Amino acid sequence: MAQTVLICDDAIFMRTMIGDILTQAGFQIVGEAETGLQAVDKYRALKPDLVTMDIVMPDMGGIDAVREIVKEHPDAKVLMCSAMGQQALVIEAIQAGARDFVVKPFQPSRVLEAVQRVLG
Amino acid sequence: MELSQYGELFLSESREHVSAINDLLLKLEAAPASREPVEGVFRSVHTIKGMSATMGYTRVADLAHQMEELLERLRKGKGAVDGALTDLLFESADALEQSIEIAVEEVESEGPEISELLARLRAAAEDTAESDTGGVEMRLRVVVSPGSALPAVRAFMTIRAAREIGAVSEIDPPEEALLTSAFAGTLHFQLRTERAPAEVEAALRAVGEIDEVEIGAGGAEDVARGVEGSGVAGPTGSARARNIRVDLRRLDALMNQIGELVIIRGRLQRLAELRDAPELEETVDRAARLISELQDEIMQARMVPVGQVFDRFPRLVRDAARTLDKQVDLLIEGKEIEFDRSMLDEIGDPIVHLLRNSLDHGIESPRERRAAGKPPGGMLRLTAARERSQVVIRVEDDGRGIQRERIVERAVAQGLVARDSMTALGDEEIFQLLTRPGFSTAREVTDVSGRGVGLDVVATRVRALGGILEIASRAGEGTSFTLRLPLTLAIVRALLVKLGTETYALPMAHVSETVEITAEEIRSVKGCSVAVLRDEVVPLLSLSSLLRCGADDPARRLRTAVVLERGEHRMGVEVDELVGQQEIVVKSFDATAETLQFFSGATILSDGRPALILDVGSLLAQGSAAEAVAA
Repeated sequence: MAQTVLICDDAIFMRTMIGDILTQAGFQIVGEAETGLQAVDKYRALKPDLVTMDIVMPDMGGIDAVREIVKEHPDAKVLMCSAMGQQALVIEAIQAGARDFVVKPFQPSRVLEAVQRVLG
Repeated sequence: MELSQYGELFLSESREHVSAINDLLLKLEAAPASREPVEGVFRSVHTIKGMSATMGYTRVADLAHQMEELLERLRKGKGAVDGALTDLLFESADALEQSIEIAVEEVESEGPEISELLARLRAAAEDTAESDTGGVEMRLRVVVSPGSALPAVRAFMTIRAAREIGAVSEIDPPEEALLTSAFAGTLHFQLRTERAPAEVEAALRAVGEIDEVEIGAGGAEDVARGVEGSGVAGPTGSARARNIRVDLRRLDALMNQIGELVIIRGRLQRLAELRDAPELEETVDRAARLISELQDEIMQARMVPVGQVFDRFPRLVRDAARTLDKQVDLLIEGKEIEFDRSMLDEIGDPIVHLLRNSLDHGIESPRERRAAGKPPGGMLRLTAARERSQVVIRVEDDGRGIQRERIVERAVAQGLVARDSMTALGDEEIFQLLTRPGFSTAREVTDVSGRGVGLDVVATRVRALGGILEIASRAGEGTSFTLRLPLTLAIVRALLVKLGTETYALPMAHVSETVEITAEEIRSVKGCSVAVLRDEVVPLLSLSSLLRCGADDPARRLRTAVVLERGEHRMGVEVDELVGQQEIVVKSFDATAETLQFFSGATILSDGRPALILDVGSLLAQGSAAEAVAA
């Protein structure tokens, strides 16, 4: 059975791109979120196998969302998506509980490698 | 005892080491397997032991020695660090701090009873001797793939992965550097673990984007060498800027003097203008510029990063959270923002109160939070930021927020406002009611925040520094307290006078003398009052008529006057009463010249009430006008 993914990013363009990469690799996208708050709610409802999380989002940023999700679901597997040059923020995200990261613009091979590491 | 001259130095050095010890113990508590904090605490305790023994403070030296014994065992990898052990170390650090302060006061006999603590430390050290943690020391060299977009993050993740399987130390480049500077790609560190090398390599490669993992043997000797060699280094051991220690009182004195110079500069400029001597004006201008530059340099010398004060908060919050049985994460941002030293001293306590307030009344217990759908751990965030010419310090929590209704009820009950007018007030204004003296809506005054420093004192302090306290809150979601403070202060010595019920401030630089005159000594010349002081006739104006407030009491026999002087102009200003002299902080305000003609600024007096600062220039102008008429 395909593994389920929740995609969190405030840009439709980014959500579509990641969605396409993952769908082609055999994953099932079960939900999308535009804000950190939505991400936390949807995780609770869907309990996906994997979450991709953008760092900068309105209404609670990605790092806070990761923190909340991991507090409630310590086994959550979150992959952080960051723009270039956000080193300190990515470190903060890892400290908050994200398991790995990818940097935009995405290369499908890199994304899939990172996803494999996150899923273990 | 000739050693007493070193008392100050011992005290300041020891305090730095105690602060470092607290920081490191917090780190150790968060990551019990890590070695670096143990090394750091060991070094600091060792240094304190040496210094106190030299000074003859035997109690401090004994305690430091016992702590050192325990830390020595832990350093060697004997004994695991658990909650009970970190608690013991925290307690010992506190006792050490207290003993140091008492020793310097030279009342050693009144120190805290530490024999019981010493016994416990001895027992803990002996316990560790039994449990020798096994494992092998390895030297690791890890190369991150050059193609990685964020190699420093991979390095950070590598260290994290290593910590999961053993004790990590000797990290090069140091962890803090990974956050801020560029990472070249190669990471070195020491690992003590019971896992086989193959397992270690697999664990590190699982981080991703790792090209090479090289494992070498040993390294314990380097550790020992590191300790001895760095005996002279400072508590943090990082690169030190070229600094000297300056007594704070010197900087304060410089501040006062520059304040006076600034006022005299004004006088000189005025005098030069009047003389109509271009050479003099030019020279005075140059002097004025130099004085401005000097003022800037002195202000800069007094600037200090807020981190100095913020550093003691993590420990404070941890202790308070444990007392209250609450879980909380304290996030601190903006430690490097700089602030005037004396302002920093002043805001420390108010911030502590706000933090305790949030912990006590804001953040709910883990059970309450879960019931409210929140994560069990609360978030407390302290940030400092620069905004143009202000420093903005914010304390926010994600707790239960402020209940507007409770405040309204209380205010109505206290008769402060009528209920109907309350609905018209915005949230911010309602919240500001909390800063009124005696207004606390807390059900009980707890151990933690009930020290008598209420929100009203916080607000008064902030205002006295020329700042504002803003309160925002969303019921059920959290509260934030924002302090907006000016970067620097202007401190001026002033004479406080009273007119009716109002107090005004007169900058001392222009006050020549104060006199008491009998009604007989006041003459009237062409309708203007003058006073005869010794051989001089001085126009006498009454402040109440100038400001058009208060009333002149003609029946009064004895009158009080302040004689103002600038250059050749002298005049007397009659007031009701002299209050005294005080150093005041000058805060300028926005007011058009016509509306507040005689005032140059405002200040908050030590009793918390505002006072306007009189502008001597405009008063003297009135005096000159009167003189001209009378002449």
